[in-house]
Amino acid sequence: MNRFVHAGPRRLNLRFQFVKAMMTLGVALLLLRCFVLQVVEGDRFRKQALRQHEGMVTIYPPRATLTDREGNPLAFSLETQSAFVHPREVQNPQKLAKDLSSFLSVDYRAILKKLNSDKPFVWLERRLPEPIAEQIQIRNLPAVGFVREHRRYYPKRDLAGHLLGFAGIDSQGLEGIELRYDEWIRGEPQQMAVERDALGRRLELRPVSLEPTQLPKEIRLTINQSIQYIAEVELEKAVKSTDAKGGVVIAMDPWSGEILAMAVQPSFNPNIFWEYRPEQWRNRAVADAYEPGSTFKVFLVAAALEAGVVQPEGTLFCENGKYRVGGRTIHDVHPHGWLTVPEVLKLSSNICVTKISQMLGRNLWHQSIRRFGFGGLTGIDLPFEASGIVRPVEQWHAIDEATTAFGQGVSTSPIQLVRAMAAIANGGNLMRPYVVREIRDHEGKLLVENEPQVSGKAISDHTAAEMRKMLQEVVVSGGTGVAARIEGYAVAGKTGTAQKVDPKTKRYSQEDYVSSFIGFLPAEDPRIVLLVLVDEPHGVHYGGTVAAPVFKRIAEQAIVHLNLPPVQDFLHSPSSLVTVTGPEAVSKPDPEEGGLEGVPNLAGMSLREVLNRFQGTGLQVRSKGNGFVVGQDPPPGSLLEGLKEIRVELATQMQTQ
Amino acid sequence: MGQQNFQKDRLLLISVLGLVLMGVLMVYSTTSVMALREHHDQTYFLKRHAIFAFLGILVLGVTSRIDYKIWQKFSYPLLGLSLLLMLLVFIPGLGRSSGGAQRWLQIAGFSFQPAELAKITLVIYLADSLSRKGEKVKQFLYGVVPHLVVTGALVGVLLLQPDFGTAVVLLMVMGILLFAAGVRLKHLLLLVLPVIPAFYFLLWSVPYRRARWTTFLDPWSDPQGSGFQIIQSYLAFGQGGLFGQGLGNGHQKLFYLPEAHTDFIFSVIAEELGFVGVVLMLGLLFCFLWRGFLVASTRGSVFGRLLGFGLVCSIGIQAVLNIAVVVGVLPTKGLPLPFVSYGGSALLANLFAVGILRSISSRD
Repeated sequence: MNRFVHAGPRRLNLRFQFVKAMMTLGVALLLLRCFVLQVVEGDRFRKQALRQHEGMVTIYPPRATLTDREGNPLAFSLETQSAFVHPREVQNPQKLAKDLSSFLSVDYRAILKKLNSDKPFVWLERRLPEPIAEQIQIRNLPAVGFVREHRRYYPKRDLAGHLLGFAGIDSQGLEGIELRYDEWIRGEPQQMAVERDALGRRLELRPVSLEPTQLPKEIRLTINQSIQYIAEVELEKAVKSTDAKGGVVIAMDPWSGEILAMAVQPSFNPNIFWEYRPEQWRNRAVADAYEPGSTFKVFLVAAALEAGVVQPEGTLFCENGKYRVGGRTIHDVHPHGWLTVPEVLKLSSNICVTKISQMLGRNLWHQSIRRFGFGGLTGIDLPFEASGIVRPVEQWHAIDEATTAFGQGVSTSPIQLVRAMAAIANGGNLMRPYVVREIRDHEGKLLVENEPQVSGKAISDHTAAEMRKMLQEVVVSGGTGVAARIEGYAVAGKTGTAQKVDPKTKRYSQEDYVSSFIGFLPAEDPRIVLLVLVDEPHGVHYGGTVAAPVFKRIAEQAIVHLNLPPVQDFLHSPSSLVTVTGPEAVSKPDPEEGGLEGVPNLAGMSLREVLNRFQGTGLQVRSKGNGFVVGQDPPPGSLLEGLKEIRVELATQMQTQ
Repeated sequence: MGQQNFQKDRLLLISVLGLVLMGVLMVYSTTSVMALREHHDQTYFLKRHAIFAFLGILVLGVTSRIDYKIWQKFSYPLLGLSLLLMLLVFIPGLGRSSGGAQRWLQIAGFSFQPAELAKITLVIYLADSLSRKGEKVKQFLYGVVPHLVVTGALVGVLLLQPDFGTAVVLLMVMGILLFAAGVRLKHLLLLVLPVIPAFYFLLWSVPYRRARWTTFLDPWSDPQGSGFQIIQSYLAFGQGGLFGQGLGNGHQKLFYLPEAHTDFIFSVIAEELGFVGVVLMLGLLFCFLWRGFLVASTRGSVFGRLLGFGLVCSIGIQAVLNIAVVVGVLPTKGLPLPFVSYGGSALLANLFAVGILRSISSRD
């Protein structure tokens, strides 16, 4: 007979219940204990844990290499050694401090202070040059250790400093591309900690987080190192010779939006960025907005042509130098009588553009300003972009209609100005400017590729073509920009001389000007848009005298690097470039002479050339890829009639050869 | 006895699977860095643990379909096998030592810990023996002596390894089963009295055990030495707070916490999942105990009820002891957390036990 079942189940059940109760009580007590540890006394333990984690350090892998568009290095990371100490293990701080003081840049007292810290880990000096680190290492000093860190190095010093920016000691991008592309440039940080081995108390710095990918990526910029250098040298010369406050030069490919050069004066050397005042780090080409002055007249005339309120051959009376608008008198530098529209630009008459603006009307003019991208961000891949100020049209007074016509009462960043001018150069497309072409990993695998992006249509092809013609007049004899003229090349451009607003009186200063010249060349097939802006030159301050010669000097040298043949040859045989590369080039009649009968063979052409080819034909060009044409639809020789769009496929390597 | 009791208990299964799943997650979170450093594969420990979890669930499924009464027939052979395997651990070439203890058998690249099997076979033996004794359990000679001798033999071998934690679990399981089976209280007291000085001797005789005691009473007396573990565990709890640092974000496991993936995995849960995670864990554990006890008190034969009761108690005691150590209520003694800690043998053995429980719950 079993007692468990038959004799006393009630009593036994009691014993069961007792065990159950005890177990439940146990779990309940544990829960209570956890509550005390985590919530009631949590803060105390948390603080203690934090203290312990002072022994944790983050080590960063080398940052990506930055190169110009041809692969010349502009920034890379050098290996260095960082020295640390475990103060709790130091037996004789005085002696150790003395030993160390002969190698480190910190003095004895500062080292001693570090050695007497009660933290488990203290940096002695970070980023020591290899030879010095080696000298310390061979002495095998107690409690001193080394860890590999990297130092950012800009081999070309000031070159493109504003564009590149710089990174801080913990590999954090602080300015420029270093900041904007920080997530690509910096690698996965690695956590290291002062570790205690299982038995003793020996402390070591050991990795605790996952091994980062140690090999740096490569970021290729759109910058052409040579043009950048030329721009910086010429700008610096101009700023020095005019005793100006500073200056900006931007060079852009009008077809793609690629920035070829971006120079800012005064420059700074990113290797020692901390020795400059922070405002000197600012990339004024992007982050500052100026009143553009007369260069803005270009966009007014374009808007007026587009709206049809003036014709290229139309004439206007320029009131012999004085014109009253809204209670104010507008002056011209030189009085003019009747002028054609191209002459208005050529001679930069404030009065006539005021009249054009009045004809256009403030609504259309405001719309056009916005369509050229003013008052909005260009979307350039650089930090701290300024949008400039274009007040809503409802807030305009009668006088604003006049002053905005010659670039007062609006402010634009230099990059906005360049982009707007590029739209005139390329047939009306507002391109997104960019400075990074592509990002590759350490094996050369393409990770990111920036491609040309059209962000809007500012004006029609037709208007753009008219403007290109007119702007060439500016640099011919008698024009304000004649100093920008280059022998053998058709230059289109416009001068600008803007009075600055005195921050004290809030009125236009009679002394401080921004002198500028913006233009492109070759005028009929532009390859480069170039802005030269000199801030507060002393002495002569006209854009035509201060900025136009700088434009000329930079452009002349850039021509060589861009392989631009003199413009006459180019105009007479626009297809000469492609007949060489295209395998079976059919005859390509000049669109201006005959019109297109069949679809030409586009093989080997750049997108720019293709766009140029069909410019003014009403044909839409759709492209895929980058580089040169490797495929097209419809094929060469197809009938052009009734065709609405042509599609081309581009690749960087020519497949045909 | 409602209809539902005749079905296998779903809640019991859910709570166990919940604990196993938590274990897989936490083992991965705890070991990924260490695994990469030592084995160049983040998932080294995860993979192994997951394989055993999978095997264990298979074992659970198979065992729950086998009539639990079969184990009664094999109770002596199983006991003998356990003892034999535990002794094999000491043979060089077969045994593997780690951290100063000889606890593992090395078989085909995997380590097997016979003590885990011994826990279950002891319960089977005690349930079998006690259920057959009937009224005689009230006599000291029948009710106490043979069980004390058998348990003593296992405990003796465990102390040689040494595996103090498992030894304590076995003794406590024995005590509870004797108590539950109706052994006279004064006999049990007779047992406990000599055990007290024996415990005292064992706790002080070896320096490292003594150190555990002194640092348990005041861990800050030697924060860098033997108090290190428990302080680090406290810090993990403190770091966790109410909601935790987030899965995988714990700092303490990285190396401050010793044995983070085995004995101290509960600290990692506390740090990464916070008090909320702790409540969840203890809730699952409580659910398992509650449903387990229900099986043991309502279903099966006398053997079945004692067996179920013993298995639930052995797992429950080990869990409570493990957590008690981690929260500093008991001195450290090296016990993994059932179902959760990294360790294949323990996981297999515990899921095997759950399989038996489910078999009991489905049969009369």
